[in-house]
Amino acid sequence: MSGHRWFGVGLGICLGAAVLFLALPIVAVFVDSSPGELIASLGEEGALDALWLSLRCTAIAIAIILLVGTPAAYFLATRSFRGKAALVTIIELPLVLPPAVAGIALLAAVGPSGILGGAIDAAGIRLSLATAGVIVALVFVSAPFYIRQAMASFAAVDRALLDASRTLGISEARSFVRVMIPVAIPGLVAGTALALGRALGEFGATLMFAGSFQGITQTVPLAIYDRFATDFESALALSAVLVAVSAAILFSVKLVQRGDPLGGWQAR
Amino acid sequence: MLAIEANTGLGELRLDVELEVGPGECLALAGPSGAGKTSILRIVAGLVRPGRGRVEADGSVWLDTERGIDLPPERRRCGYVFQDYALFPHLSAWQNVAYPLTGPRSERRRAALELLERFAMSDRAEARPRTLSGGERQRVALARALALGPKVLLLDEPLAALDARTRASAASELASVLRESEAPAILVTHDFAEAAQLGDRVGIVDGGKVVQEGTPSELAANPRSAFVADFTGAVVLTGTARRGDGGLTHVELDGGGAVVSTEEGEGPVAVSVYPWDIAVEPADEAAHGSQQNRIPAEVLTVTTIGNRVRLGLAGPQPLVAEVTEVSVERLGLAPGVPVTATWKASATRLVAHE
Repeated sequence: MSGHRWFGVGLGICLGAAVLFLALPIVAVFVDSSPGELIASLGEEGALDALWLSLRCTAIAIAIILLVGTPAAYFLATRSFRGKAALVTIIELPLVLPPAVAGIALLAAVGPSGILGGAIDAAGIRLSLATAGVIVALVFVSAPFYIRQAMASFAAVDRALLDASRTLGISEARSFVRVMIPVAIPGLVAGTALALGRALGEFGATLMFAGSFQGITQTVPLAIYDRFATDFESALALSAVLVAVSAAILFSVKLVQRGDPLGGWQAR
Repeated sequence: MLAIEANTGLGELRLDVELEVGPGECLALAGPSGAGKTSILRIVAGLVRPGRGRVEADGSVWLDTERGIDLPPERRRCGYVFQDYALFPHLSAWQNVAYPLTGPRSERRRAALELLERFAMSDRAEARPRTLSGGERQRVALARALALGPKVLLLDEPLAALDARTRASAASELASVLRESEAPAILVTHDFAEAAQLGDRVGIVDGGKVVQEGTPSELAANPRSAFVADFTGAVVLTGTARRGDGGLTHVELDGGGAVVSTEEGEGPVAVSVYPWDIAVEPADEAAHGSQQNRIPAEVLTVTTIGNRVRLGLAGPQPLVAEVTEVSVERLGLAPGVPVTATWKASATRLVAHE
């Protein structure tokens, strides 16, 4: 066998090992119990509560991230100013923060005895051990994923498009809506998916900041953790649901980026 | 009427210009890249704010840094054709043209189709920019720039992105648009021939300044600097001038040889002569006729351009002559053939050379 053949075989073996190792646990989630048992344990009240809470909190968190993060990312992508690099680093920091640290940090900032705790309490808002606290934790850990990606997408848009729009009588605010967002949309969708995946799977910061109360702060990951020692079957069922949702998110991103439902202009 | 004054630093460049363009007139700004041509357009459009400057168009002041007036681009009504056309990739051709228009969709569509029709583009109205050819994109960009009835037309290298074959037809189309348009227009190009073809007047821009302004023929006939002479396509030779016999100026060329000129000059000069004023004769032929300047040279290259042939000549300094195909055959011109390049003293321009 020639050296070239050996190299090819080596590559193949490594790929096989990687796929096997990464796919096996996911397949096991579905195979380890029968579909009937999975559905039955989903019917249990606590499981449905957790699913519903996860979906609600994630949806609200993503809405907040899109609403505030999109203009913020646009600002960072189109303006240059002193200290911009430092600002971007601060925004990206939660990306690399250990979840436990994120939870502690949130407690220190907006927890009952945190630096803003008094003000929040005075405003009549309860965050810790409340559903609102879950949303705060989700926004905190997943917003950087979106903002980072959105910033890159806006920066990649040809500046002449914005200039053209403005010389055609359209203000920057309206150009943002009519040109910048539509042209950057594949990247914005990818960023949303990243944030969505991160928010759905959020565990550590939520547990530490909001606690784990069924129906109030116990999202799916917390529910899985709560019952894996006592009710493995039910934990498995919830895991299967998360795997399915995550796979669906990933698949739709690939569809937007490759399958080109927008006509393919972004492929240039 | 468009009046521009700007004095500002732009990175390394110091831009200092004062320009006026009349209604229906097209001023072509020609110069090398980095000379500041595009910056002038961007200042007019409001996309760049100069340190000091004034822009007045159609009787209203768009910019006056002294009085603190600076209209944003969206309130200036400039028809701007960008260098790579900057068509919106997510919109079809007609939607690009209809982009600045307001009103119900059906009306905007009708108006856009009318404009596209004018550029023979109605059958491509539904196409996305990505699927259009370079020439088609240029026409959509032009239609879009005209959609609002602009007060000023700004064209940044409108033909540069086109291949040589489309360029000729696009240029004549653009020329007719410029003829019909009543708005003052500024066209930016790095190609003097293009500027001469499309501009009523040409301004040569170098290092942030308009170094000379005039009709294309004025510039070609009477370049005020070696740079302008070179840019307008002249052959530029360097040498040292002194007063000669018969009211002529005698120029000792660097590297050997000498020429005479009807123009005055003293000390180091740039000698410019247009390739079409240079004739070639067989090397052994004795001097005759009225061509006083005779430089021995060797044919280096023979390039046919349309019905002319451009000869690259190696002499004491490189020369370019333009002759007809018939002459090439009659004289047996080919690389390596020794010749004498000749031209009249009256076709020899002199400018001081720094």
